[in-house]
Amino acid sequence: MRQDFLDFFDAEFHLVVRFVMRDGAGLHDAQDCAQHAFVQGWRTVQNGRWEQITQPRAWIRTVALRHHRTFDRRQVPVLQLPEAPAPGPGHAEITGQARDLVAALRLLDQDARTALAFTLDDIPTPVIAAHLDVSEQRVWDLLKKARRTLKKHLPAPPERPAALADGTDTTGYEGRQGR
Amino acid sequence: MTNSNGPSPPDNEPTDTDLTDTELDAALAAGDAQLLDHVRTHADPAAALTALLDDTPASAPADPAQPTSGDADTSALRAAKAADQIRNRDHALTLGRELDSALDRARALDRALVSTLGRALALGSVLTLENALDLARDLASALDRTLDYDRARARALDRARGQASDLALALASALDRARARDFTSVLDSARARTLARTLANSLIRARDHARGRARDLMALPVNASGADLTGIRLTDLAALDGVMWDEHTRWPPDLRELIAGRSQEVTPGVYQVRGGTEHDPHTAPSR
Repeated sequence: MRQDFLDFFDAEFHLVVRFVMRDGAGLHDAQDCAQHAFVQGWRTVQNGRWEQITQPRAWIRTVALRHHRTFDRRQVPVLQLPEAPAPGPGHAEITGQARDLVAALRLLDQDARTALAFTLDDIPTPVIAAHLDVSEQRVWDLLKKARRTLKKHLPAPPERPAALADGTDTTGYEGRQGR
Repeated sequence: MTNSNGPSPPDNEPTDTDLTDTELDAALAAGDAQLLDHVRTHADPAAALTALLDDTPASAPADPAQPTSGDADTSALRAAKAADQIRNRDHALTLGRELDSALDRARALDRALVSTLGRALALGSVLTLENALDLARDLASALDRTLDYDRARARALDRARGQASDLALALASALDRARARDFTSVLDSARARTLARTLANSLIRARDHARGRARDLMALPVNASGADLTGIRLTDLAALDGVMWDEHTRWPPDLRELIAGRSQEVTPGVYQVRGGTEHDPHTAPSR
């Protein structure tokens, strides 16, 4: 079981860090949250209760996200003096479409952002509903709302798919609503 | 539902400029993939892995320098743990030194401010304040750099960084007033001196914290037998004091001879780096 968990760690650590970054966390904070979640999971393994967690991918994300939102992360405002040196390699910033995505996600309210973040990691809607403690219909509503907002604020990728640019596709989540 | 990050955009009907579902999916996928690339490039799973192993009572045997048994404690995990232990030692030792230096600067700043108070009504106060401001900004920058060493634990350092920023702000204000011949700058200077003293006290706490952490880390045995440490970068070779290693351990090429020369064979094929290695930046060429 311990090896299974370490395999789970290898497969999921980076994904959980990204999951928390979708909520607006910086890389360092997101790593802290992911680490916290995996330590909690590890303790569950030690207690012999890990097998009782039926949706470990959703569980680990929920723990990491909860830590991000509850941990005291008050940042000391740092005066950006003109003479201040440029951030070094330790302060690598996200750029391009990743930055656009994180900025657009900030426009969503917390629940919609959470539902979308889970969906982007292929967590099934019923599982999202269970972890958010809401109905499945509520999750669909949140996703619909999130997509409507992102359509207005997220820049199109550099190569727009010309064949479907008329908007006739029905592959989005709104198209699946109610199934 | 509330929005903790500001007002929601208008929730009106779609417009011609909106992305289609397909375009949105493509934009989400592209942005998300780039975000994952960023995480894979900059994140350090070894630190989290070490936290897992450190959190396990079973992974702290009577003699932690000896390999442990169990399916999870593979040699790769031990190697990752040894590398992380050495890095953490190096960071803690370096942080302690950086904070010592920062404390010296804070005390120099306090002395400069004493002089400023005495001369605040004279024209020379502008120059003195400029010097003090340079010191404060230099200090704030140094603290920004040191903060990276131990983000999770050094809350005292976080406070000191905030105080250094406050101090720089107060000094900038005092400088503006002095340039304008506004002699209320005496009051600003007095406040700056109070801030400087508070900062010095915070730095003492942060330095003591770093020293304590360095002591704790140095007290824990490190078993680097079989570990590939070729990528490790050290600023303080004292981080290797007491480290156990063997013929399968891979050191950075430029340090191998130096480490071998400072080690003794404790059992056949197993070596230990002797303690008391002095910090010498000229002998740590890998950084």
